[in-house]
Amino acid sequence: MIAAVSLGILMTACTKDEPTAACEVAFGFTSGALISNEGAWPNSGTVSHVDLTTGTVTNSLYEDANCGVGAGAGVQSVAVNSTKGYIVSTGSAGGNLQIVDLTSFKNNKSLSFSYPRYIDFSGNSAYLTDGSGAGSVYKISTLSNIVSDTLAVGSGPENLHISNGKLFVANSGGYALDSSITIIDLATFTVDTTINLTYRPIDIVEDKNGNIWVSCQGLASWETNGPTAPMLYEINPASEAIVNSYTVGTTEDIKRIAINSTKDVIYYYHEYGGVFAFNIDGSTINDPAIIEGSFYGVSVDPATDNILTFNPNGFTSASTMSVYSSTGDSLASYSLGIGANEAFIK
Amino acid sequence: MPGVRCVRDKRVRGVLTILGALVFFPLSIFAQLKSSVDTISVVEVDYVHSLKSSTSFDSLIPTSSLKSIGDLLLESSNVQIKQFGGKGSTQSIQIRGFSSSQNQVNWNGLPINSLTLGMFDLAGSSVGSFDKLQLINGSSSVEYGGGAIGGVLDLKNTAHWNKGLDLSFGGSVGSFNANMDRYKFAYSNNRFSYSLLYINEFVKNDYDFINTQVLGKPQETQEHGEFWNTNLVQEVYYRKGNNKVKWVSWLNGRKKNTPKFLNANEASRKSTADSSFRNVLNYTRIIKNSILDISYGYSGSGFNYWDYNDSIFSDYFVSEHFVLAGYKFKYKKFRFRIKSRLERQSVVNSRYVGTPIRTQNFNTAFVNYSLKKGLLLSGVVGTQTSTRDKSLIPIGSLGYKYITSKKIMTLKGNISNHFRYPTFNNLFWDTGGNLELKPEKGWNIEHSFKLEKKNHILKSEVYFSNVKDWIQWLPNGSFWVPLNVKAVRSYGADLNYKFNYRIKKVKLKLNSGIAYTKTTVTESIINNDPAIGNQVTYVPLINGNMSLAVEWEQFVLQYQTAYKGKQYTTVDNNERYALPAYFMNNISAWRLTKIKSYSFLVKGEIQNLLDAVYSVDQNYALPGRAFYLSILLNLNLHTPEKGG
Repeated sequence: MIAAVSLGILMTACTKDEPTAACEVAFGFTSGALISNEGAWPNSGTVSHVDLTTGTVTNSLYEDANCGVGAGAGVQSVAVNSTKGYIVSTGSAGGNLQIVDLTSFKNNKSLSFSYPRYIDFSGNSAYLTDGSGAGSVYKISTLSNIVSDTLAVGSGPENLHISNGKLFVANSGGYALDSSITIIDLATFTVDTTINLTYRPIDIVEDKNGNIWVSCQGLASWETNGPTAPMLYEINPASEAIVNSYTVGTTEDIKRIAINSTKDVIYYYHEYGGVFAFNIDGSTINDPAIIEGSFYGVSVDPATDNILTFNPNGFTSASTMSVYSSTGDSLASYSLGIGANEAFIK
Repeated sequence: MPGVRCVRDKRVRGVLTILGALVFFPLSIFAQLKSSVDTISVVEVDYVHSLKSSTSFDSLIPTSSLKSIGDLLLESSNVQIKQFGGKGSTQSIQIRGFSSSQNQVNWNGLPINSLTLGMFDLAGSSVGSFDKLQLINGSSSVEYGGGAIGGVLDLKNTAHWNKGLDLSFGGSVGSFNANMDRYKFAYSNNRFSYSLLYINEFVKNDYDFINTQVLGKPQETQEHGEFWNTNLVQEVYYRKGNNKVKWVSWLNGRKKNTPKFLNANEASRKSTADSSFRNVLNYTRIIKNSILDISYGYSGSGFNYWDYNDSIFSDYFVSEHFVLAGYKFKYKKFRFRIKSRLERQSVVNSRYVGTPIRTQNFNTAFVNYSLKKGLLLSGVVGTQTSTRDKSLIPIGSLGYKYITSKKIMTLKGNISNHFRYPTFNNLFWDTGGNLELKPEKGWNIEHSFKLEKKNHILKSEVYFSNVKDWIQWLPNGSFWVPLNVKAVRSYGADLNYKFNYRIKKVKLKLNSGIAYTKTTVTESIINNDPAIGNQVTYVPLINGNMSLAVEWEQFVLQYQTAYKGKQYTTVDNNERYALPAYFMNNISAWRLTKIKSYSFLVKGEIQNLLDAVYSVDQNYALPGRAFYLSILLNLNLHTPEKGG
């Protein structure tokens, strides 16, 4: 009887809850950091905002503005162009590009792709990398939000960068192997050339000289042909030739890179070895890490040159974004969504 | 998603206070009680009988034989059954806050947890495939070996003697295109018993659901959720004098289409198929005051996975040989049992490096001592060794059992250690498999009491367990690696109450239970691990169940409700990602007609009566209200000679 009464107490103690996800959230993005949180696959990832001046954190922007509907599994990147936000999710079976109104984060348009990763903009067009195997770049009108063209590139295209009318695409290989970057002439949207580097090109930044820097992840010991060292490559966009290359480890390790506001220091990280500052003249190649720790992503605030690092804490809880000065002094720490990987900062 | 929030901190404390009082109050009158237990047979030299709190579901088998074991436990117990979808989707058991790989499922003494994943998928295992179904709560490694940290689900087949020719036909149909056929042929005389059971099941799982992960939250109909399941169980028994031979075989084949995740764009083109063949051959001989028991078991199972969405295909084959020898005997007030188990496990997996083999040896000596009438002291000592972990794990347990006069109250308590070896995936997966993993180890203390008086049965238990070197996969570059990451502590209490009442021809049966389970991470190798101090994911703090049956002659009307508490899905117990608590209500009515040698069961059931919206994770569609009708006809055509 006591068990029945106990159960009864619990039953009567329960009340219907209101829906946890609101449908009307007044959030207008004007500045700060928009962070892509990959989420705990296959559940949807999220987008967080951190006001870098006040330290105010707003998590789950997209879900709250869209009645609890997620942006998709594996939110890989976030970008902003004019008044629109672009959320790229690789998906649990087919990914999405969610185009949102930055004044509310409500969904304007949802486009489906196979395995989208990163997006960049030029004029009235957006360019999106896609594919875990054979790769493509999609050209999307930012006026109509319609795909206008597509172009085959290498396997598993990751980040991309636009410079002087050319689009540079890092072909990481995805689930296969690749070691190339594809250079696309945007005027004709055709492949200009392909340059071979080492395995798994991942990320691209542009330095103060207008040269393109590409991080290559290398291969792990368990992979065919592995292990190979991770490397940084400097490429002259005009001549499309490799200017310099630097070995920055012994096995598959580095991923994303970021560059400071004066575009002369590149930050890369070893996942369990901290963040390293690399002068583009190569002078700090053997310097120790400026920030110790385990990281999954790194970004730089162009207004302050502060370094933002991301730790997903095993993808089983809130991620941590830590802010450091350019010399590695710890400044602040924020709790974000699950699986934070990088920030778009304005 | 709308949910249910329980405002209950103070109430929970109140409930726990009552639970504590119920368990420990009887100890104060311990010395005043007289025993009525005067002798203990050799057969009672049994670990569960002597030390453990267990729940038998045998009485539910005749009227629930077409139901899956997982559904039965979900409705009738406080254990956590995790299921990702409709009938046939992966269904696993969690006991006392420990994961499915930390609980053991035994079939006729043979451990049948997957060597690759550690868990056993209950989907498609029908209640009627077994004669005994018992849930043993709490750490049981000292009896069953590695893996039995949270508890054991013990499935057994037993002989039916002298029944003659017995034929049984039945089946069920229900919502979402569910149907099942069941045929059983059995013959037994005084020496020989044979039965052959065939079950064939199909469920389309084409239920409607609200897709909460798509803008506009449209109603959709689930596609690609079909489940095919076939079981063939053969039992052969022979006895002569003091000798008995048992041979049971279980052939199972399943295919599951995997529906798409709610947030997926593409239609799913993923499927799994697995088949298993299990055998246990057992010889038992009674020699004066002792019993010799020798078993050989074999389990072979193959698994295939097809993912045409991402072009991922894998397969593996697992085989396990198992030899168990036990000997029970008595000497004065002592009762002994020695047991030795040898297992040879191997897996051929396209994702493993090589073809790993693991041999394990488990030896225990169990002793009962009758200190005074009604009071038994028990102890277990033993060792466990494995070729994949060269260290020897000592095993030990100490406990007591006290039965008061007139058997009104039974008290049991024990302290023991437990352990679990890493799975084959943990050790040998080609990207990340870690041969340096240590076994998970810990200890458990528990106490229970059972009070039986007239029409009332009150049962309660409290426990405290811990596990160190808890294995968890962590990201490491582009792949994940299993490591000995955490120490976890689990404590809690269970309270169960049964009541039978009769008013003329009407019987009322109430069965209720409530469980409090606090399972938290206490240590971690991860810097500033947010899991520390928090409830382990997918472990509700409170579970409860209650059923009320009204019987009138051959008719029974039964109402069941089960409460599943809030479950956190992130280790930092983020409320945003928590799954809300929910009630699941079922109602069923049946008539079991018995005329001489014939019996006929017709049963109707409505599951999820109130069409509750609940969730096991945000990306899985779950069925709403469902209707089922089942019939079972049993014909006993011949009664052989009596005697013998």
